[in-house]
Amino acid sequence: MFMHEMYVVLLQILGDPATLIGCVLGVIWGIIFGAAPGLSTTMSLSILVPLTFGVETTRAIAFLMGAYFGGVYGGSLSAILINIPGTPSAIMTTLDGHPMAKRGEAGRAIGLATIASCLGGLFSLLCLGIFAPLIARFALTFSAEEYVALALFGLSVLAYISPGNTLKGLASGVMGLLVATVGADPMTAYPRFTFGSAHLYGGLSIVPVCIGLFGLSEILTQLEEDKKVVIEQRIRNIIPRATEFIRMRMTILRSAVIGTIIGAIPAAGSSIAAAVSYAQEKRYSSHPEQLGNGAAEGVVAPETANNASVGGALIPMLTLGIPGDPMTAVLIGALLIHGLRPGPLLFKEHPDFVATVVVTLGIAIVLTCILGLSCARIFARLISIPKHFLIPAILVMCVVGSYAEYNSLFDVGVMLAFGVLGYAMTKVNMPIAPAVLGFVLGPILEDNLRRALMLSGGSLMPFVTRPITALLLVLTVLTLSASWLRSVVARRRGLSMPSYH
Amino acid sequence: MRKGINDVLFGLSLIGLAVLIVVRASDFPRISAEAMGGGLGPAFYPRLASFVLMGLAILMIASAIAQMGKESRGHFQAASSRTAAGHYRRYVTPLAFLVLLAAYGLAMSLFGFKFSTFVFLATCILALGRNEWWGHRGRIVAFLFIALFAMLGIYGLFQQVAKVPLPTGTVWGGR
Repeated sequence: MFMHEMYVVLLQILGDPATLIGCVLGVIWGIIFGAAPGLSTTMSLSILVPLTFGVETTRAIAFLMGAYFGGVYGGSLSAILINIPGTPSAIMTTLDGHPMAKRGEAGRAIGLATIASCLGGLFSLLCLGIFAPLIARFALTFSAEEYVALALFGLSVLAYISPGNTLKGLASGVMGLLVATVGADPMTAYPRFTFGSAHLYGGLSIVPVCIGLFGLSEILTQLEEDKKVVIEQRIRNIIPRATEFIRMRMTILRSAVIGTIIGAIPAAGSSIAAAVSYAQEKRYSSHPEQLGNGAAEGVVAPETANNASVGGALIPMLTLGIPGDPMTAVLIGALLIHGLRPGPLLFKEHPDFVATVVVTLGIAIVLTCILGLSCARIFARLISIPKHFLIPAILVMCVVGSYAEYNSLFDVGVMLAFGVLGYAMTKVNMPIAPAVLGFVLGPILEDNLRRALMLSGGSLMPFVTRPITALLLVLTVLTLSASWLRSVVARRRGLSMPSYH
Repeated sequence: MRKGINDVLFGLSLIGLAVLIVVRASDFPRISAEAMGGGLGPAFYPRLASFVLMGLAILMIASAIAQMGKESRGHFQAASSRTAAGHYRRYVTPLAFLVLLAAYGLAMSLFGFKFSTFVFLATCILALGRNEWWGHRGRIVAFLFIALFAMLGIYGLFQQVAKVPLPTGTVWGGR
């Protein structure tokens, strides 16, 4: 049934040049933003969402999927060429990618990263196509208690994705939950924290909130420093040899599985996937001492994993309506604007749309491979666009993007306020991503918690007697304990924990 | 030490925010469990989340104070007014751009998208790229052209591609 939908959608897309062009533009946009140091993929998606308001849904999805996958891949270019990860998920790629570039193998490193990214993406796409319909069918049996437990598990993962900052990660997530309470109460329609403003009655829109937190706050941070990006490496021999990939087939398979599974965990993301797969590579490699000194496996493992997390992150987003990472949180906002509510019912009511997501992601992966291998030199030049041209243009897009949804200057004010909040949060090392994930999870948590308590007459017993709920709650407690223990151990040893946000 | 102080201040602001929410939520109508079909009123969830936030903020403050205690025992940090001035100077540009951005938002409703965006872009590009054009007058013209083309590009992207009706300015009799 689902295969048939995908086949029909594929034929429709191949017959519509505008959708294909949209996907190409999305990939280019994503790679440029992903590669530019200081500009994250989440930011690029936040700014891109308003551009899709007036566009037909399939074309909008193609555009966004292109930017999403292209963005996660793009981070590797600056990681290899200038030793600065374009996105947090490319942090591990710097360890071996840049030493390779310094050795004069920048082209080879880029080629390996490109093919590895696409292989990881294709593996996760396969998993998405196979498992998402099964999970969605299973999720149809979920009741309010399961959704509460899932949201709580997502929040506990927030603590885990903020290593060394467990408390701050959780506080940031709870702030997001509170921001989501602004507007009419979902059960009684009583206006909460609206201060009499009609603009706030419908709640805060995710678009200005995301643009402020991810876009404006990042730009404000960029304005503090005045650094010039200079690329010294020459890029040649980009197309890698097939024998290299045959040699590293186990690395690719292992990293693709790790990336897809970690991507599918609610609230975890590509950065953790890359870090875990790199650590596993070091464990299983026959030459672990070479990792960190420009080993090809050191580029292939994290790049396969971080791009495999893309398909993985789409699984909880599409089947449960719960974001797999901050980027899918923004994508959920985009889908809501297009009148689509992610969740198990989406598979029943709009199977064509789900097929569109899967097919456009597949097209985006192929396009990333083609563009990544053929235009690497051009993208490398774009990394060095002077900031005094880039920053003002992005600021204008932040303002216009916030204005675009409701043609309202009030939303521009909301974007500014959240930009200042995001900037203040970065100054105290408080991760921003949990706040946005909390903002998306907030309505799911509140709605289902109150419904569950209503149905049980105020009793908490169903949370422990229902097996899936109980299992998820146990996992939540274990995740929180593990995160806290890691922080304590690191502090005792005097180590600083890496930040994945 | 400064990091610890920032954490304490941020933690206190979070507690303040949580208290405000709890106080504000106390004005929400009290609906009996029977009337809600056994459910809970509009204040329940914000209050619950606020108490959790308060708890986390208290732990954050306690952790920051403990860390500061360790640091002060470990080594003495002389706070020089010169380094403090340098620390705060880095916030001048972001703050200036925030003011500029707010002014741009207001100007857009008054003078419309095209005019205000061109002025905003030109101001930002010239301010950020001052080292590039200082002493090269020809470059100023080039920068202004770049601002013009960037404005037209963004206008085309939103107005023509995304079909977003951009403000035309109340001063010129538009919306």
